Amino acid sequence: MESIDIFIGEHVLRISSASSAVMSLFSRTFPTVIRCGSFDFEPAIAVHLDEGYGSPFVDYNVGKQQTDTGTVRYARTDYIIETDEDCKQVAIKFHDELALKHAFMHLYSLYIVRSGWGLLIHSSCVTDNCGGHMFTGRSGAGKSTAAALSESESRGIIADEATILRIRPDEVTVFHSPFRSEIQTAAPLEPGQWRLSSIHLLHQAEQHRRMPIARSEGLIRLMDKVFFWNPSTDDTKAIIGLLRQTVHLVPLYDLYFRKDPYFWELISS
Amino acid sequence: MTLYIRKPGCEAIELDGETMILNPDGLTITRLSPVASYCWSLLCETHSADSLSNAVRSHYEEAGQTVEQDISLFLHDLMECGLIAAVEK
Repeated sequence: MESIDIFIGEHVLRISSASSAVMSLFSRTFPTVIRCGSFDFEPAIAVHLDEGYGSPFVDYNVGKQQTDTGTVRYARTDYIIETDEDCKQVAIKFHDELALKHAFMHLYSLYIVRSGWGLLIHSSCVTDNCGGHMFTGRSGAGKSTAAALSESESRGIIADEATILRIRPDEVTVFHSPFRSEIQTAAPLEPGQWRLSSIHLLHQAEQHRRMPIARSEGLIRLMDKVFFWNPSTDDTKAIIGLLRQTVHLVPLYDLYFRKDPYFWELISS
Repeated sequence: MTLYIRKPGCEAIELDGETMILNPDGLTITRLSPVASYCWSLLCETHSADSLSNAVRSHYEEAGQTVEQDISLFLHDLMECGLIAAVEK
């Protein structure tokens, strides 16, 4: 049995498998994940991995099933997650690398929503001296492009596909995200966190322009950006409560941008 | 006569003076105008279209000629969104 401890957000996850090939695949799938230097941390979630499940990805439909032993199973064609009620003891069986990545996003999103800790948002996120700035929008709006254009000596990319938000009554904080699409920045040695200063809904345009969005409008437009699968009524209420807190604390903007880094003059001014 | 009442589970969210209704089963959020928000507040108890129209006329002095038509449309929209239930009496 092999195991490693990793940080996601401010949570320690203990990843284990009977197969060293599975552990290698995990490392390849999440090259930017932060590893704990020692086993002194008490893990929030223990995840056991196994390969050889199902068939390649077909669609995002996830079935949910309560078992006789009190666990819950979430099954897609290419992965199955079996977890206790609190998502603390988890077994994942997966088909391939894509399935492993999606299963982990699914699990982490479940855990942070159910614990009221925060949300996983389909977006990129860039940090500067003022904190974190999130970029989201429709598919193809330029989330990864905006992040790639932003990288400089004074700015860093902490997410290019899924931003991790911790939502508290007085502050929204963002963390380095291992859930990447294209931009695999080097893994930091220590977990960092930044206050979320702004949220931008992206639109590609000829000229740079930024317009404030009302909180109510922002809440509605962020709803379909939350990574979550088959929410129950209570999950939906929890997600809306967390989004409401977010739009209350963080200003939102429509950002019209062309493919150069000068849109930062609007953000930093 | 048809009476209307809020469905259980629907929650009102206030943001910057604007009211939105969350239907967690249908995964929808519906934004309400101030008059619609007033009507929603009344629908914690059963009301007919006529009693809602009368309440709006009493509450808003400037209410126009189209109140009955507006209330009918409002109730139709809330039924479509699954936010209220109709009871025949």
